Parts: sequence; structure tokens; C-alpha cells
Amino acid sequence: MSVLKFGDVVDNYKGTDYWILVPSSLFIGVLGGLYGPLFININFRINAWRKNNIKSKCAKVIEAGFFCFLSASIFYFVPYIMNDCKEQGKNDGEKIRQEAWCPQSDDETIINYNPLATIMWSSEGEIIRNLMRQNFDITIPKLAVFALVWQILTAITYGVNVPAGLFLPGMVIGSATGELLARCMHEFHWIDEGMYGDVRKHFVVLGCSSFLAGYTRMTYSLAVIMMETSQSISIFIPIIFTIIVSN
Amino acid sequence: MATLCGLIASVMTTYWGTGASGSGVAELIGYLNGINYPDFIGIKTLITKIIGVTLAVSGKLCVGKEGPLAHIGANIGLLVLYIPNRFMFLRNDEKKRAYVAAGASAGVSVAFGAPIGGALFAYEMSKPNTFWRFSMIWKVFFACSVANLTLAILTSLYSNEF
Repeated sequence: MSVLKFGDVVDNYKGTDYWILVPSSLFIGVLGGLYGPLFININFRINAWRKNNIKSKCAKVIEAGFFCFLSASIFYFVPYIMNDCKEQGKNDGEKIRQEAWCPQSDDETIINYNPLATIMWSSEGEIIRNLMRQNFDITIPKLAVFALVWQILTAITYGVNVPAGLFLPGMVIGSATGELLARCMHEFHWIDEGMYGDVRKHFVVLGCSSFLAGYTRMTYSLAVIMMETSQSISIFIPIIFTIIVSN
Repeated sequence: MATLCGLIASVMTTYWGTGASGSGVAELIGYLNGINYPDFIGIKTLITKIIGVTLAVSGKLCVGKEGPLAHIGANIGLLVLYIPNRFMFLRNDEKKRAYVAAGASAGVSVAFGAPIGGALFAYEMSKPNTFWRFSMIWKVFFACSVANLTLAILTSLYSNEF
């Protein structure tokens, strides 16, 4: 019961499978720790420029409108450029997926959907829940494009004269990166098929905590918040490893 | 349409409630450690923050709503002290900071559904300062729990699952 909800994080590991989380949590922590200072540096330079050049109140309003227009059109047209369609049975998922520019299929029980449009056109909590879903099918380059778009837009948007937060963009970027890492490891056969579904969900949570710890520099409170949000005790120690390395 | 939302949010922030721009968490850390910002807390800032963050998120800007929730909670926590003819004797600097910390932790705990995490968040933000008595921890935790209970009741009312 919260504003932001993760999907079901289940853990049924067998034998020594659990130990894959320890080296990978350290690696995700390194990624988050590299990203945090980079983000702060870029954002600091952009805001210094902004403070010198945009002074009048009218210019600030126009700038905010321009950024809204820019990010809305980027979010709309990137799925159009990288358009492809996946099939899904109509009764599988509980949420409707975005059908975007996909043609209608002849079979009644199958809908075509566009995976990139599905995550780009939804709110932030929806993004994380969609990434965690079992049969969500998206290719690696598209996920990379998604993470890159969010990184660049967040870095240039923060500092515009509107009320804005920094928690959720970090979580979105982190979850996309964690998912990306899980898919790469699956591609190279470092994770076997049976535990891939569980590892993916845990990587999403680890990515969130790592990228948040990278630039907000919170420690124990972030660990407890992530554990309570994902409602899974067993990844508490990997989260702590990630946050320590990231800081 | 998205541009219109962003324009309204920006006009409100620029011309009316100037304290509401940005995340609010960084200023909150400063405030809890003893720095007063102009326009940081007040009824104008509260209204601008609530409407502005809704419009900014729906305007497809790449911004989140968790940091502003902490700021909104802090504003409400302080404005409780200024109910007319009540709490006259509580309007000193130490009590103000305690109420702001409780409000901010309630905001964060509602955002993530994490009562213990919210209480620890306020504890970490204020970098245990002189206003933190030992008894404040459980009071803040109680505030977080009540906030979560309210959210649960409202959600179940909204979705008719009572």
C-alpha cells in the first residue's frame, strides 16, 4: 500500500544459486557509484550556465515549456523510430499494453504490442512493475536506449523552475540498468534458465538502490526503504553491499 | 497539452510561490541543521508545490514526486503549529524543527510505503542534531504509521474494497 509499488519479488533459490547475487551486487554498486558523481557534475555545470544566462522570469517560464515539449516529443517519437511488435495472449497480463503502431492481428486472443512504447508511455511506478513482469519481452538495445534517454533528460531537466524530485528518475534509470545487466548475463549464459526469472527481479531492486545511493548519498535509511518497498527480506544483505560499494 | 501543463507549473513557481522550485530535500537538510531559507515554508509554497508537482509530472518532465512529498509533509508539519489560538507555546525554533522532521518523514514513508524507512530517513537527514531527544524517534515512527494507515484507508475507499 504505497504510492510506488514494486511487483512481486519472490525468492525460491535452490542450493548455492543465491551466491550469484553477491558479486553482481558489488558490480552494480560500482556502476551506481560511477554514475552518481557524473550526473552531479553534468547537472552542476548546466545549472551554473543556467544561472548566468537565464535571468528574467519570462525566460524561465519559456524554458520550462520548452523542456516539457522536448521530453514529451522524445518520449512519443522514439518508439516510432524503433518500432517492432511482440505478441501476447489477451488474458495473460492484467494490465493493457500499448499497441502503438502495431497492426491488428487476425487471431482474436492475441494482441500485438510495442514493448518500448509500453514502458515509455507509462508512469514511473508502472515502468518498474512492467520491467518486473514475467513475460515482458524487450531487446537489449532498446533497453539501453531507454536508460540513455532517461539519463540525458534527467540531467538537463533538473534545475528548471518547477517543483521536481530526484528520487524516481534515479529509480527508473537504476531499474533499467539492472534489467539490462540481467539480460546481458543471460545472453552469455552466466545465469541458467531456471533462476533467470527471480534473478531479474532482484537485479531491478539492486539497480534502484545502487543508483539512488550514488547521488543522494543516503546509507542505512535507503537500505531499509528499499527492503520495505520490495517486501523481501532475503535481498537485504546484497542491498547493503551495493550501497556500501556505491558510496 | 504536456507543454501547457509545464507552463502553468512554471508560471506558478516563478511568480507566486518561489520557495517551491527544485526538490526540497537539500533545503530540508539545511533547515533541519539550522539554516533558514526565505519562503521555504508557508501556505503559498505548500499550494504551489502540490499543484505544481502534479502538473510537472503529467507534463512528461523527467521528474519524480518523492522529494516534493517530503517537502509537502514538512510544510504541513510546520503549519500545524500555526492553527490560530492553539499551540502558542510551541512556536520556538526547537519545536519547529521537530515538527518539520516528523512531517518530512511521514511524506517519505507514504511515498515508499515504508514506515521504518521514513523514520530513519528523518533521522539521517537531520544528522542527529540537538533537537533529537530519545523520545522523538518513536513519535516520528508513530507519525509515519498513522500516515500509512490513512493512505491505506483512502486507497481502499477509492477502489471500493471495504
